[in-house]
Amino acid sequence: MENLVFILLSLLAVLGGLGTVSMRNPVHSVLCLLLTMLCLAGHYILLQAPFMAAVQIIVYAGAIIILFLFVIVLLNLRDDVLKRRTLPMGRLYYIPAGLAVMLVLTGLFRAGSNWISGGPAPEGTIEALGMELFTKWVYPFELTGVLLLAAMVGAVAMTRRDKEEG
Amino acid sequence: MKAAWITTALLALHSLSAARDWTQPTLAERAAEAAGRSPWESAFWIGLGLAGTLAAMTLLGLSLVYAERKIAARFQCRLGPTRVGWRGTLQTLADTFKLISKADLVPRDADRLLFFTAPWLVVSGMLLALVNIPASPLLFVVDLNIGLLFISAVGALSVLGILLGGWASNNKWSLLGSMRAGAQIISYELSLTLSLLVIVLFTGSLSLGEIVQSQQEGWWLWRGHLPAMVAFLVFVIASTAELNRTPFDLAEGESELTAGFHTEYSGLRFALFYLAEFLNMFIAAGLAATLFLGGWMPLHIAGLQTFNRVMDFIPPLVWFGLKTGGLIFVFMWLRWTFPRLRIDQLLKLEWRFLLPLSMVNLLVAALVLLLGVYGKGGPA
Repeated sequence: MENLVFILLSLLAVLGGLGTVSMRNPVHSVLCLLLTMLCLAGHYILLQAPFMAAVQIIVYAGAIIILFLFVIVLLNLRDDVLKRRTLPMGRLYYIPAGLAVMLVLTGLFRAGSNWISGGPAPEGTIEALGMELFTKWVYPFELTGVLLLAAMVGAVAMTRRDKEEG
Repeated sequence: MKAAWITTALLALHSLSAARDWTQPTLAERAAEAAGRSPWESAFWIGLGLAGTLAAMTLLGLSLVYAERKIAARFQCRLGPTRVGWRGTLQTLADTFKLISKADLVPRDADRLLFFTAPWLVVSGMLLALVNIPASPLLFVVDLNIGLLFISAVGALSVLGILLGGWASNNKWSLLGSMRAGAQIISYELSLTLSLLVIVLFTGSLSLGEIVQSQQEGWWLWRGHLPAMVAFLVFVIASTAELNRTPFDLAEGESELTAGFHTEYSGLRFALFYLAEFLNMFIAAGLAATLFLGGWMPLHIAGLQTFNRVMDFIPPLVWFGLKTGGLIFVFMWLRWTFPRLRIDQLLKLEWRFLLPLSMVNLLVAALVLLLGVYGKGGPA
């Protein structure tokens, strides 16, 4: 049963990933990314980490995907712009991508028959997570906070216009 | 299977009498417990939960729309619907049939797939939140240990539905409406979540069941002192904005945007948007009742033994209904009293006033908790 859910979620996630890179319309592309993110949240639930799942949905589906949508919708890309979209020497990019796929596949085959279940994870409670985060990892946690704040201030400063201009 | 039926009947009777024992397994817990014994019994509980949620959704949708029309009419010195059924009670049912039987128009240049999925995204976000609301110890489908977090997570689906609906319609009004709705919901989500966190801080739990249990001694609105009251006010204001209701209904400001993100929607799909809007109001009110007003816990006043006994005899479902209904009335009252804000006023209110206020409030709540002054005073 669990394996069935896992395989279904993984298939959907891979499908979403493929859609993300292959869709012509950027909005459809973003939605495929959303599908992948939701499936990953499902994986977290299978791994007994409901908190991570909820955070995954809040952060990715709730914030990042919506931000992407805002940007894409506001850019108002027309069809002729979208058709011209090719990278220089596009074929060359297949090589690292193919290598990465081969690496993952090799890993899968080497892991043998029990590749699906990595064994049960210890059940993660929010209390345990909080204790870890705010005792053992408090410095990295606070530093990350400061880093994010700096990024936010930077973004505001960059978009800010002086009064005379505005 | 027979046992399941008998227990349901007994539990229904039990819920009518005064339930002193508040700890009842939720439907999901019953299903999980029965899964090992007999898959049929497990399926029965799951089916009961699903059917109950859908029935509740329909019933609430119909009655909330009716209540809104009647209350709006009273505020404007009108009578509201009077013709269909007793005092117009069947008016919304008739309107539903009308909506379903209407021609289903899709704009020629719409993104058909997204146009069709958007309303369902909104409705599924709403349904996922609805199953978490504890209406009574028995009418409680799922009690997730991350309940509150889950509710704010699935709220994202509704925002996505609104954004996509507006974009897929390929109409400037729809797009503008959905952008406004998106910006507004994301902004007010911040102070909404911060006000929820105050209660999480006091309770030490994200599970809605445990939050209700923690209020046996007294509602958080009183027991949490000033921070809880401020959080309650912030919650009501922010959720009015989240619901896109007046004075924050810029997303569908008729005078400028026709009908906002659902301008192009007709028939059943419009009905879905409309239903989700009203049920989200119910969810917001139910959440506020659960967090701040003790959920289905009866009102107790310390020292008044007889009064407390009498209050205990009122079933939990009635308590929940009264509290939620009262809050829904407040939402409707606000809607028909205040004029609409401008978009800049709306965003200023959130970012310059509500957000700093709720951040300071959270800090004060943490201080109150650390100094150990909570739990005294007020009705206990």
